Amino acid sequence: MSLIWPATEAEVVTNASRLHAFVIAVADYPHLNGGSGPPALEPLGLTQVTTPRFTGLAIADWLLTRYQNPLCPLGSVEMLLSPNQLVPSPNGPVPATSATMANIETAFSLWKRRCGTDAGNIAWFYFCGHGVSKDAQYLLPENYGDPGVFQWRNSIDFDGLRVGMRSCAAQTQLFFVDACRETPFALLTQLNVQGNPLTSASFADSVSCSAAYYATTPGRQAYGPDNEVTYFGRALLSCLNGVAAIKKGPKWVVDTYSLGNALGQTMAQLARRHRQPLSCNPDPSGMGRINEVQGPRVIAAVSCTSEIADTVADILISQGATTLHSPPGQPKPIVEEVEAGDWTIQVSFPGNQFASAAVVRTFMPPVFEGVEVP
Amino acid sequence: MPVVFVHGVNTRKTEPGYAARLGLIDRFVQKHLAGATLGGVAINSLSPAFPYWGDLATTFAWNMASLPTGHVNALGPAINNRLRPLIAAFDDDLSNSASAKQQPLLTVAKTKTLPHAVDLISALLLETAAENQADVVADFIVVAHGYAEANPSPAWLATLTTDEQLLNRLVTEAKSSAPPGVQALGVLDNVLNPLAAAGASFKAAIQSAATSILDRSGDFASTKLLAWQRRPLNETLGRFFGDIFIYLDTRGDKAAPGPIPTLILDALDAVKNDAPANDPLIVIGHSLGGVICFDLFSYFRPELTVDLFVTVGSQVSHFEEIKRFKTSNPAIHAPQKAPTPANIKRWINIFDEVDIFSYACDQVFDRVIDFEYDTQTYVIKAHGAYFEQDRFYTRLRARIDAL
Repeated sequence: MSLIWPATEAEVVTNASRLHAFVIAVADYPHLNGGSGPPALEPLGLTQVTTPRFTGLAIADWLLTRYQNPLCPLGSVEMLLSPNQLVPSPNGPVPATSATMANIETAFSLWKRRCGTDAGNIAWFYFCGHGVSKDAQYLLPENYGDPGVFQWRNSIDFDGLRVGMRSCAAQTQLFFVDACRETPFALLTQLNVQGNPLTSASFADSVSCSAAYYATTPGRQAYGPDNEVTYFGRALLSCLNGVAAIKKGPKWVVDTYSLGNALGQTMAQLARRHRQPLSCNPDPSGMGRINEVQGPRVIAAVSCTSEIADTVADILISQGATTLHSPPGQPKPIVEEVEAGDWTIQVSFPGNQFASAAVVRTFMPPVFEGVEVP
Repeated sequence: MPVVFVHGVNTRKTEPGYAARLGLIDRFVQKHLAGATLGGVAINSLSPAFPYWGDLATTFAWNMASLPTGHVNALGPAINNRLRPLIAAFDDDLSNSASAKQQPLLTVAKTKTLPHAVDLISALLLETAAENQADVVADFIVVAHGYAEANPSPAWLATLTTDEQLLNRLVTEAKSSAPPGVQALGVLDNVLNPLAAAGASFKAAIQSAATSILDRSGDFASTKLLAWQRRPLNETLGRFFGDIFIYLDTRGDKAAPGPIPTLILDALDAVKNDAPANDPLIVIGHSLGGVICFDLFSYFRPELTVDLFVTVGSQVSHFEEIKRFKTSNPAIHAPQKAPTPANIKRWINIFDEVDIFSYACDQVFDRVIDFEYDTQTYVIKAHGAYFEQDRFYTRLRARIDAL
């Protein structure tokens, strides 16, 4: 079963604006290096990964529990997960279907049909798994590389998919590509590289907002820590929870453009914190209202002005009873998602290498960065 | 303990793979000599110094324009000259190389052993990888050799059908002991791109050669194939003799050492000065590097104590036979033995019967230990193959332990 919520197709609201989500997370590639099946004739240097499993569940959980948009409430969550496992939902655990190409084609059709029932719908597409890029961005399902069939038969042409979705009535379309965009040399040697766009559109089709957010810039890799949510997934959830929020009248709102800016800023701070070559490529392409939040949140990235000082600094950040602490020797900067507002930053040096300081700063979204200490 | 590696003929920084080869020697030395002792003294400093004298050696005024070119011109990229000896060796290695052209690397692994294939892959990588990939290439070769030596015929080989699968599997196995950390949603290791490029280059070259060279029967292998690979062979031989002439002509004398002796002696002095007092000195001389070092130790700097002198694929005994050293004494000949200079405390000489530039020493010199090593390669390749093979260092370590 790929429909995680609501329980049945009949319960899906199709006569009013709704967000319909399609989440694909692939953490099992039997035909790639380390897989359990016959190896692909050209594995392209791709191997098993664990992060998509955690990321897919985190995205689904956020949609089911945190997504808030009175103008376009949640309508459905379609999810494919490899390896398949139970997905928590308001109706209890639902067994997810594996993300094979055939299952993706079927689920995509159902999702697109739902999305097409109302122009006010939001179409939400999230893919987490292996990706490669050549003349287009390709996303790889579980059974990519099956040596029994044409190597590229089981692959998604994401660029084609995004264009093809112009034929869908939903005027706000959000695509999240949490996958690599590099071009392995082995891919350059391949002829007839072609993926399945899953849908098509005509010259006359268009949508007012087709926003794509890539986990990395063209030609580069996307990353995540073993057995955890990817860095892009983390950044996205922080942004949706308020880091990307801007004030619109009485409400704090995340829209397609504010999300793009906040994602880029957040990924830059995660890159500093984790010392990884993280990047991000937002392409909002139209204004769309995504989410409402109670209040703004901020990625606080606090460190000293030099690495030498960072190494010996004891940094304490506090707001009321909430404190963040990074003693000497722990990695800097501190990068945490916190509430916006006034925070006290205390920087001390137990070894008296530099003069200690305490300052009050106002954290405003999306990012608060650094203090001039020492 | 300082280790100094003195390169031989035909070594130029401008040649593909120069930096990667140095990186490879550095890693292999550190891997295999760690924990070794010499005369009861632990070997502590294992990162070799590499004095480079290639810029002082032979140049060709017409860039070897005197070499005859092939008979056929292609209106497109020709087969890389530097791959030609590898292709010829591939042809020698297999009973039917033309049929193996579709998956040449996998064919070698299956019909011979995985270490044979890794030798070939390593040679390809060193010939084709870009300079900025030197570290990743050297790291991979060290690990891949270690894996292949421990698993010469892994069961998974039978499940593979393409070269690309083999290269991917090798990297996967090499990475299997890597610590957990951050995953990329893409290629598993930086070495995959240079590996894929090397594999693709070789397959394309094999397939191109197969249509015109390898699958012709009769005398082709012994005549046309030799001509086909003549240019890279001639380049090697040309530089070999050229570098020797240059050294002999310019080495100077004790009062006024020439540029090459000066450069190497300065490097030896530098590592000795940087090392703790009385720390022993290991000098590894490859090919003409061994000859030059012998000249330095016997004539230019007899007061320099060398605790272990290792000559590899070298011509020291040949030069002594023709009395070309400054200290050579024409009165000493068979059945006598020439004396090893007293400042050389221990001397191991390593040769491969297939390496036509290598010579045995123990019939010419006293106090030298000869050690025959089979690179399992072919005539031209053997001369440079020693230092690219994990098993070479394993055996060298065993010899050092036995001293």
